[in-house]
Amino acid sequence: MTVAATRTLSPARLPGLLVAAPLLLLLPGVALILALFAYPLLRLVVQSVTDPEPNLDSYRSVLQDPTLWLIIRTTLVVAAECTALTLLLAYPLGFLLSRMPRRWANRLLLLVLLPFWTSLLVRMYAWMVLLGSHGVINEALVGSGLLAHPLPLLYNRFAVLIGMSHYMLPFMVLSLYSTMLSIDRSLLEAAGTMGSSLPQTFFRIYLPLSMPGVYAGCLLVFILSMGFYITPALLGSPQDTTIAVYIQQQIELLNWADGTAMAVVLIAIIGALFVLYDRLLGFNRLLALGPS
Amino acid sequence: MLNRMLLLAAASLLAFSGMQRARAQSDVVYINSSGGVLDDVFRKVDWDPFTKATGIRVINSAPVDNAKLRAMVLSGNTEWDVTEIDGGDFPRGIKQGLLQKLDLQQLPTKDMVEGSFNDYGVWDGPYSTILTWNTDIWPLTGKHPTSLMDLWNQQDFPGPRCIRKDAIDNIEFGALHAGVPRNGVYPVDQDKAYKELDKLKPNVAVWWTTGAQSVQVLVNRDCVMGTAWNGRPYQLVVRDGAHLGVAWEDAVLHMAWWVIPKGAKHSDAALKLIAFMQDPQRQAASAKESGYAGGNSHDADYLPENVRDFLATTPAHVGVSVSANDEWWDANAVAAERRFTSWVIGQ
Repeated sequence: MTVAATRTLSPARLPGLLVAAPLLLLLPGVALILALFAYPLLRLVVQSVTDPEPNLDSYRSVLQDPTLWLIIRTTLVVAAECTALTLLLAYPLGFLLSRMPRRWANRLLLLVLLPFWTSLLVRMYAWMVLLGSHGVINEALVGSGLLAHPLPLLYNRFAVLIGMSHYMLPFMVLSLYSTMLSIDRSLLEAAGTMGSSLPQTFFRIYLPLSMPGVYAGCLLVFILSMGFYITPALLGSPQDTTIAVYIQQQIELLNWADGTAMAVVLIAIIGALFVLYDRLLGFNRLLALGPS
Repeated sequence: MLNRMLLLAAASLLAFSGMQRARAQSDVVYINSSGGVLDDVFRKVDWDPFTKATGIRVINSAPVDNAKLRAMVLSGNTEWDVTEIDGGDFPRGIKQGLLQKLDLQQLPTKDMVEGSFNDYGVWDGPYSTILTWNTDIWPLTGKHPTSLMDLWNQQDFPGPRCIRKDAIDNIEFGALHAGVPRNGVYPVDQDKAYKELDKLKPNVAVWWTTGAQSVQVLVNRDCVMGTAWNGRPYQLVVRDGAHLGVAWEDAVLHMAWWVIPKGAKHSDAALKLIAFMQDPQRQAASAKESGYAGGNSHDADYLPENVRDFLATTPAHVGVSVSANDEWWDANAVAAERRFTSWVIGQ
């Protein structure tokens, strides 16, 4: 039976199968996303206009809430700052890793991923121990006579950014590393033999070629940073309150109409940023597809 | 043939797992509470002995999550048989139809403190938001803070403060500092309260969000004085010998309740467990470790003086505290929390 089936498969039908097979393989993933993400999201949107009664009151109250806009601004600024800091830290690291013998690079990558193996909360408390006014860093600085008074390292934006970029670093490093690995080294050598200085080679050859990794890493880190909750709450000041905290407060108070409306507003803002990003940079460049 | 065998195997496996579930239903109870040290204490003092006495296994989870409770009940898939519920969430839960009525006949109500139980819940651990400070700075033998109002007293007790990033308790403290008497705090005059909180704000270095953080900042000396739930400093003082003092004047007394969510799958076992946890000796043993007493009027008989000094239910403490008005908080929480957030994030 099976042998016969293979034989009757005409060459003309083969491309059709080649297209269909990968689509079939996609099916479980798509089903998972639909069931676990799209459906709950839809429920969220529905709830935002029907809880407790079908109307748009929650949007009216949420959009007119000046505190919400202040918090959204903070959230965007913190996410942008975190992305910039993470990029700054990750770029040299990714470069170094991509130039190393693969055996060593793999080992060092494990170290980069290490933060993922510790609970976020534990890491936050570790930062508190390090950064406190009587923490390890300040005790060392004051104890050694370098400073008369401890530095304000904790409960401010600085601490929030340290804590967040510590968490985000692996995402950025991995994104940069994979792009940097694929950069043809002979291009750099060619530039050198043609008399290009090191900075010239970097800015005119290497940096542009690594940009897809930069774009992808920045997008990933920025969007993930928008959802930070416990880090700003524990390491920051009230001025670092993020949208996730505000939404959670409404949900906890069973004020689900406002909470879900805020969540929808947040999704809309992220969606708008996504479109803007696409317009400015183009996703085909981000994915390093096609000519760039 | 192979297919049929596979089918048979699958069917028997399904039947077996079904059997497992049916059996499990009668000998297990799921309880959800605040977690941490408290769960360890409950496990040792109540839950394991309960399993020994009745054969019913106790499976616990944490933390208390009102939103999860509502989602469970609304979706018709209640996983918890017993859960803790706090403050304004309790009347709100009753109003929203999330809770089951309890059969009070099954509880030892004649030994329980009046008001510690009603149709929908039984006291879990009464707790107070109190003042705590570092005794290295102000030893108990000398001049030291005695009231929540000392939060404002920079003259006698200078240094950075640590208070909770929440409207709850803080607006009560503000009203009290404005001169409102303890029995007249509710309804809270928020305009008055915020005028006082404005004065306090510059001295607040840390706004805590978790119970652990509230005492952590005193131990690592980021702050000299702050507010905390009474069990937290107790646990540190008793277990780690931390140098913390506590003051009760103008504290706010809260109730946490054990409730049975609507649709709970093992509500009989749940009630049995709640009744079991009312034993005065067991509540005393639990208070000794956690700093949180229960609702049984006789539990204090089994406790030494130094433990009673830290309990919210000690009469001398209740006498100088404000009892949180859960009905007021139920009605005003959303607006009050929003006002607080907008106030606290302002420069």
